[in-house]
Amino acid sequence: MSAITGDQVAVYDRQLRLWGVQAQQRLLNAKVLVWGLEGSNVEACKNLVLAGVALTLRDHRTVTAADVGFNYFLRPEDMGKFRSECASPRVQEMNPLGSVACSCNKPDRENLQDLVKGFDVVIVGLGVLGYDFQLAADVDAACRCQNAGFMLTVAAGELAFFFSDLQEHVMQERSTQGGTEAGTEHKPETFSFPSFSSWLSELPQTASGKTDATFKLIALFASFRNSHKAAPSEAKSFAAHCKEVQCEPKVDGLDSLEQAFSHFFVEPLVHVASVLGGLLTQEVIKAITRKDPPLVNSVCFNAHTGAALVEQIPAAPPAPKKRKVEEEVADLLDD
Amino acid sequence: MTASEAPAAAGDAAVKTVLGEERFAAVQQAKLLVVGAGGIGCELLKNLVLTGFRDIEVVDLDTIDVSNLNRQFLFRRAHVDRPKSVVAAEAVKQFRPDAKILSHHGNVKDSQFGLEFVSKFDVVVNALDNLEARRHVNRLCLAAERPLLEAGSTGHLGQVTVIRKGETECFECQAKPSQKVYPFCTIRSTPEKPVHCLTWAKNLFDLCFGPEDESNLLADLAAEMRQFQSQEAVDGEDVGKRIFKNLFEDDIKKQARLEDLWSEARPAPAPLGFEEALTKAERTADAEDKLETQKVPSVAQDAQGFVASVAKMYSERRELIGQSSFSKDDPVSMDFVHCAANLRMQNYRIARLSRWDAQSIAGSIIPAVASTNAIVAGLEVVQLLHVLQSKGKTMRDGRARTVWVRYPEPSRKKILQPSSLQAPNPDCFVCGSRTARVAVKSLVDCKIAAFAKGCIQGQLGAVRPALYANGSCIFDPEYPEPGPDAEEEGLHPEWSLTEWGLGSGSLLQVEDEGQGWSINLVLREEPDLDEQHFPNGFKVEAGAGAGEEAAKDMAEKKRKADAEAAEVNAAKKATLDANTVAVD
Ligand SMILES: [Zn+2]
Repeated sequence: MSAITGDQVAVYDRQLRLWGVQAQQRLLNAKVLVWGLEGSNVEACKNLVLAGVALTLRDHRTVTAADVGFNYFLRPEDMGKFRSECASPRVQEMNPLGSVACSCNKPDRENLQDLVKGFDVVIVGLGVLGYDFQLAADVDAACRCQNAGFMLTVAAGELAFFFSDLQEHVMQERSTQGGTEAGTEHKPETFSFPSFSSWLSELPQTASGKTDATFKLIALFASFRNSHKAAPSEAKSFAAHCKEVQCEPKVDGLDSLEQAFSHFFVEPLVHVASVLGGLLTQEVIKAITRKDPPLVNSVCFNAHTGAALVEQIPAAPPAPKKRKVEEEVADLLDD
Repeated sequence: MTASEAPAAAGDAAVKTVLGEERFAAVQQAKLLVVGAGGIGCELLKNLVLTGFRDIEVVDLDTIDVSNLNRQFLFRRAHVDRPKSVVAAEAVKQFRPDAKILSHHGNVKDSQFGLEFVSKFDVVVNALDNLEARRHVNRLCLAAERPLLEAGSTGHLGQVTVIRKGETECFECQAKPSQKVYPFCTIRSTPEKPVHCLTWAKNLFDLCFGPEDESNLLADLAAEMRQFQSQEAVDGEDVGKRIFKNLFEDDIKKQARLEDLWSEARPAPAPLGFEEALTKAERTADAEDKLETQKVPSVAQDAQGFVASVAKMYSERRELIGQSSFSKDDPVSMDFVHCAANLRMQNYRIARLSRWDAQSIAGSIIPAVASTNAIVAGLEVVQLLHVLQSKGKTMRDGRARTVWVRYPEPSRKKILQPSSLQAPNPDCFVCGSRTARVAVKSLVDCKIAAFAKGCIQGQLGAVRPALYANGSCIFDPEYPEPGPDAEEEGLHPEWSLTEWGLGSGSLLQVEDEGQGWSINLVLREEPDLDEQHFPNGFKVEAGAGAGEEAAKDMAEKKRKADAEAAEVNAAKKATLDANTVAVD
């Protein structure tokens, strides 16, 4: 690892005092792919480049007026050009010590491993994947092969969601006092993350089980996509689908499932992206620094309640009961 | 519509889809005051403007520093030293050219930002990092009857809440740990911790290079220091060496001779000559992954660094001598304070510090990162939208909540945890009973001006307090110094409380017109007041200044009352404690 320079110390001072030199060095050596300049991903770009993480911005879509209205890295003169190409110099500008690359290519479904190769973490937006949950699962599978962390973001108006898959993540240390001091405890601990395909195979249980209505809504959207198009005009069939599978969650702040559905197709409110993008950034930083326990594995923020919930989906299997030593000794003696 | 207007229109349309006509109209009409354009402020202004808020004024006192650039994302290298409020307003105006954003580079405590100013706005949104300013804005909003969104962040932790007069707790309903003040003799003669030596060193810097200040803890050394500094054609290095000899060698010798002070448990300090210091070039072994600035220098390096920093003041900033003051962000003053404190620690056998740690303590640095500020600023807008929808309802009946940012683990599955807004505390000395008891060590020795400054301003959080007893004014902030003008008004800032006819049981009224706040004080003389804990000679016994005992008491009561509220309280206390690791 290269030493941190004086210039870096001056700029990163306040965060060095939060997570220490070693964590900062890991961040400076890390590479993150932000695939899809949309929703909370825009906020993650800002937070991560400021933290000193090298970014690659990937998006094959061109800039529309609505993008400029939401994404503060884009300007009116960018309309019609590639989103990632226009945004990357301005993301870079926030931190001249950082590094920002970009790619405007359409993803090759057959070659996802090449696409995610070399990145420590890959953040993907559902929009850039054409709302294709199965493609998201394929990207996650590619990340698993390439040993990269995977995060999927979905937003709907005043709701925002992310799923993360850090596979078998080993946390090496934990900051003391809620991260307000650089002091650390060394207590390695392993966290097992389910894959996104197992998240998808759990959809019926998620939609009908005890999880919060916000998670149910995303799960219903995913199951709806198995047989329907992703377009605002499908709102009525979405409501019908929910009725058919006998799961019509009442999400705090939303009048109807039709309304909820339509929000998947506009950018979320900026402050909602700001909140979720902040939480997402914390998880990326935990993944890279291996410091502090990560959130496993689904997080949803609802601006109506102000709450952000964490849920493990599918739930971890119940831990095998430990047998008493006496029983084991008895077994041995029986042999 | 021109091409450059299309994005704003499309952005607004998306927001309207989500919020609906009515809520979006409320957003567009609201007139907001944002106090602070730093870590939370930059994120907040971005969120507000892009959510469709069009009429915003922003106040900030600060200018941009390099260490802001890791999170205050509206600022660039080229903006360093420019006012935060101005640069932030310019930057977010680019996101929505039609937004009306007015910036004020100034201190929110200044009278121009008083009641009349605050009353212009529908809602006030705080993005502040210090308790004094937050207390002040709290009072202004209570007096002007404007809802206040209050937020704070420390490292990964943060919280957001809503305050409205008579409906919710105010910022001061629960005791906050007040800033630590160290006893005079600990600083002057018997330092035990690095922080004592750093406090001493900061006072020394201001004494040598700042304007005359009677309240400087080392004020009695002023004549001596001036003598070293006042010769014609002074050579900075020479001045540095003279100050060195005076403070770290001769003065320590004198101190060491005061035998009553020293014992086996507290050995006398050891004088250190400059030449002797230069022989101490060895350094303690440090962990390999530490930065150079995180390693403790040798005594020789401290001695050379001290002289070099004085020399630099003379060679590079001669014209600023007499008007400088310590700043953690100014490398020369920080070098001076770090080296001087370390040399004093060497005198007193206290383990010396790295420059990194010295800066943390001397500058009361709070760790900060963009992600937490983004979360907190986002949550403020969430609550703001609820406040705008609360017409006709009280705040506690609506959707607004206090929200805690948890880290690293969720609490009951919530990483952002809302809790109900609390009712006002009837005993609160700011929004409730407005009475406090003050114990004074000696009514004869306590001058009214010192009482106003140390107790009413320092502990009760007033900015320009006037004091009344028996219906007449006994202290007017317009006349803080004795003189013919004050006398003409019948005022004597130099009189003691006894001279004003005040005794145990006397009642005093305090009014701060600027804050729109008043309080009744009941005085009590307590000769046994513990100097270690109350070095200024008074103790406030009700409300927020009541000290840690009262804070613990209150937290304990709450914990018993409601298990969830208690959990939340603990987080609050942790955040607050971390927020107030202040030195002087
Ligand atoms: Zn109160």
